[in-house]
Amino acid sequence: MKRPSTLLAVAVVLVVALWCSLVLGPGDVQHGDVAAVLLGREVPPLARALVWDLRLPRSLLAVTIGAALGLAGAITQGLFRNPLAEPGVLGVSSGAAMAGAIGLAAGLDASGPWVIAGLACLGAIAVLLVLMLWARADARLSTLILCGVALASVCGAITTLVLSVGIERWEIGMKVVRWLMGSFDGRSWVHLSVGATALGLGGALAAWLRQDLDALQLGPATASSLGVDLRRTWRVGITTVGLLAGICTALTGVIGFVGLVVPHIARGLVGTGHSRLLPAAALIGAALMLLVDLLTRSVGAVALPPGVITILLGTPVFLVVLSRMRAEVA
Amino acid sequence: MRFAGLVIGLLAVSGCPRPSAETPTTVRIASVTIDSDATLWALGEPVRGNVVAVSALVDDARYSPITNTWPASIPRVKGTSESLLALQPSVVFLAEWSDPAGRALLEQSNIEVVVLSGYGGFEDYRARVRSIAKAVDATPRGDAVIEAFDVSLRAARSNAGAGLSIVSYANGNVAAAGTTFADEAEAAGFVNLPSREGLEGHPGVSLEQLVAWQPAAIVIPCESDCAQTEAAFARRPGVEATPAAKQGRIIAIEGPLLFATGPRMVEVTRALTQRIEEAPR
Repeated sequence: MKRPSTLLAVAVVLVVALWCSLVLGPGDVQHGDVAAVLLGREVPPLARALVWDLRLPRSLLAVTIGAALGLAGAITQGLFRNPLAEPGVLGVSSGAAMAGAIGLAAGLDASGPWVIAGLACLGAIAVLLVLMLWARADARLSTLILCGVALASVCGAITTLVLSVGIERWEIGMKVVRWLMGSFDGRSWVHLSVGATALGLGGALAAWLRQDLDALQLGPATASSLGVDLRRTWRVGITTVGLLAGICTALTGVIGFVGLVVPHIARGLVGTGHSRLLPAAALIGAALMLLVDLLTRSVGAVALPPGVITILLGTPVFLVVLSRMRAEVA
Repeated sequence: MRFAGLVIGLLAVSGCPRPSAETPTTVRIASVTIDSDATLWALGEPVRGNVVAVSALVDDARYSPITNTWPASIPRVKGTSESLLALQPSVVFLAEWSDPAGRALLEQSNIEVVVLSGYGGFEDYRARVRSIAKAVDATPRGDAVIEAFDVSLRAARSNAGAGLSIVSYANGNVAAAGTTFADEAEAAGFVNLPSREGLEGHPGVSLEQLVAWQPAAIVIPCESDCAQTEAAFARRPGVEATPAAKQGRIIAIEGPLLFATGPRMVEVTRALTQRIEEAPR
């Protein structure tokens, strides 16, 4: 491990940010109230409602989503052997958003949060499968990115079509737009249980994949000669990324660039080995997303969608990585 | 040649109405908003007889207060400049959010465009009725429509809310000062909490903020099963700790009525009064 102290610092930031997220916000909630709620002691009903029912599940969900997106990004980059691969850039999030929007417009959300989550996963996996078909034939960066852009455009167009039909029914249009914008507001323990389950499953699959992903960095032929079952690795990888990106999009809307930025930071701290890279990406993603949520809650009265902040942060990183790659090629 | 023949052939068989060179001599009114549809109907004859188009949503019960009132022979238009121009209107009523390019095109065609603006409450409604009536030369009838509205409003006014705090919460937004709900709630004797907090319009507010306000009543929109919507909202984490949920004052009102900007605003005031009188003290 290159810089364990930095990783420890990230963990400390995560814990401090988590505490701040429980104390800060509307209503008169003191540090003692938060401690009492967490220790199960008697507190005023309002403090309990704010801390236990609203802030804690919201903050833990932000942690879960950040970890899941960081993990999904690291797996995607490992699978495609490409530092620019990320669920958002490759159109995976757009596929999830499209499927979720169709489900919402059809009123399927009334059947429970799992329905939209499942649809979003299917949308994400469908996009990944198309990408994989392209990447097999020609894994060049330009092909991959262009294919991702094209798929994101198609998914975006279908989402717009859903919206344009839904606009005839104002309340449905608003529901879809609100969901697409993304938010952690009002998320409950039920949402957290969905996210945590997906993260647990995704994390287990990622741990199982880690050595195969390491071998894949040497090239598919070498990995195959080392005994890696490429077909199985890709299948499991696609399912894992689809599950993580799909559930994240279903729960909080499209949050782009976390899967791009976080693995780069993690690689700088722990190196390229996936045994360390994957947990480091999850930890950094969790801290970053919690800080983003704190920021969106603190900037005035306007409720900022978290996806806006991550794109504003991620775009410069994307451009820096792209220019570095161009310089390397030159 | 073949292409020219095709174009001529298409034009010959086309049933599309083409603008005539003649200038219409009578007043031809086109309404593209539900609000003006309803007001024009309320203005009675001879205004109704001069209407050549009403909005596409006029018969949609979810939004329109006057479904199946306008004769089916009057075209329903979606507001595109092309469909409007084909009807050769002399006056067109548009909403302030209508496409500026389409509006400019109508104005360039020497059509009087009346842009209806201000959807913030009772006084805005009165102003829009005056504006519509003036444009169709029916000012006295417009005054009568306003008087009828004021009579029903006076009858609906009450102090049932008794100064209790109330919030209208829909899709993460609240209705603050300068909204129809602020007037409706005040007319039923409530204090609109977001207005008291200094907010204006329909700002986004977190669920956490809503709970921290501890409103005595919360109004939400519903689609069909309003009782189920109320029960589901009252059970939401955090909300169940509000006085509104504890004292059975989560009030679901059908979305189209809750967001109505015309004479149906009085119905919201009546509904609030009725519900607060029914709620356990």
